[in-house]
Amino acid sequence: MAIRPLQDILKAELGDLLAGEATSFLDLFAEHGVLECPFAPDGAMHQLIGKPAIAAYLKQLGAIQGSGGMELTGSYVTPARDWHVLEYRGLVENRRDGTSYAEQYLAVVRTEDGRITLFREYWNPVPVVASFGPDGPLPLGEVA
Amino acid sequence: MDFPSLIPFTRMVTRALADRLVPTGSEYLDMFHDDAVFDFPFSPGGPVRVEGKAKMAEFLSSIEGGTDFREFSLDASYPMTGDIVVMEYHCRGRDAKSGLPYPQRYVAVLQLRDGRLSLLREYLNPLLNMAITAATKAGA
Repeated sequence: MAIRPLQDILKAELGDLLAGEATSFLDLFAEHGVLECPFAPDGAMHQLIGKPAIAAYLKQLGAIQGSGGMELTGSYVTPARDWHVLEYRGLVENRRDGTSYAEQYLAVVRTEDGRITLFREYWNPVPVVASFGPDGPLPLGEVA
Repeated sequence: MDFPSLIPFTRMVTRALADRLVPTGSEYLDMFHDDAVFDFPFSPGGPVRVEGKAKMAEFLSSIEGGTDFREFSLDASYPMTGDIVVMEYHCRGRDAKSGLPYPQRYVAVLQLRDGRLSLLREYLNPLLNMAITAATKAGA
């Protein structure tokens, strides 16, 4: 399967559920959208509420951690098409030391009125902690 | 095959799936087809994938009694097209050896075929298991 940026996978799987003009992952979110990471280490972000908070966090994270793109391994949707669950995997780059590790994901995605209102991304914290330390790439105390 | 620690999980799944699940009995493995696949991508020692009930019975025998799961609570259930159900749930368990709490959170992909499960892919947070192992070694 092709390796693509996560936002391209989301656009392909969610299709007409997403308003057309979004160009970045952040753009796919509603203003009141929520980003969650349930398996994050205790000292790391578990929930961001609202697009401004998500934008600020992703900008800060981007300097520390990068993605080489994802490979979609599973895609499921409710009959009403309001919830998607996607499984994907990819390499994560530690921008501090240039090393990479393999990661696997399951995302629970809710869409309403053309935008993502909930993106709950489960990932394995073990390689994250091994690469970045016990609180991951962006410990809570360092979030701007 | 009898795995008492899995009674709470079995209870949650059978109630959540209701009449979509027609198990052959009341045990955990009775919910599954003989050729079912059991997939645990975030298992603490590395990914675990077991094909078939017979092999799963062996795997379960090796870990039975390690955790008292006590109760599984369903947080959300998403019935998908193509006989897939995704579930988010948690337990308020206890590690049997150390007595330490085991408050684990899960998300799972289940696939149904003719009233029984053909796939269970369950994700959990292995940091919890590792913390208990470390605390146990440290003599906590």
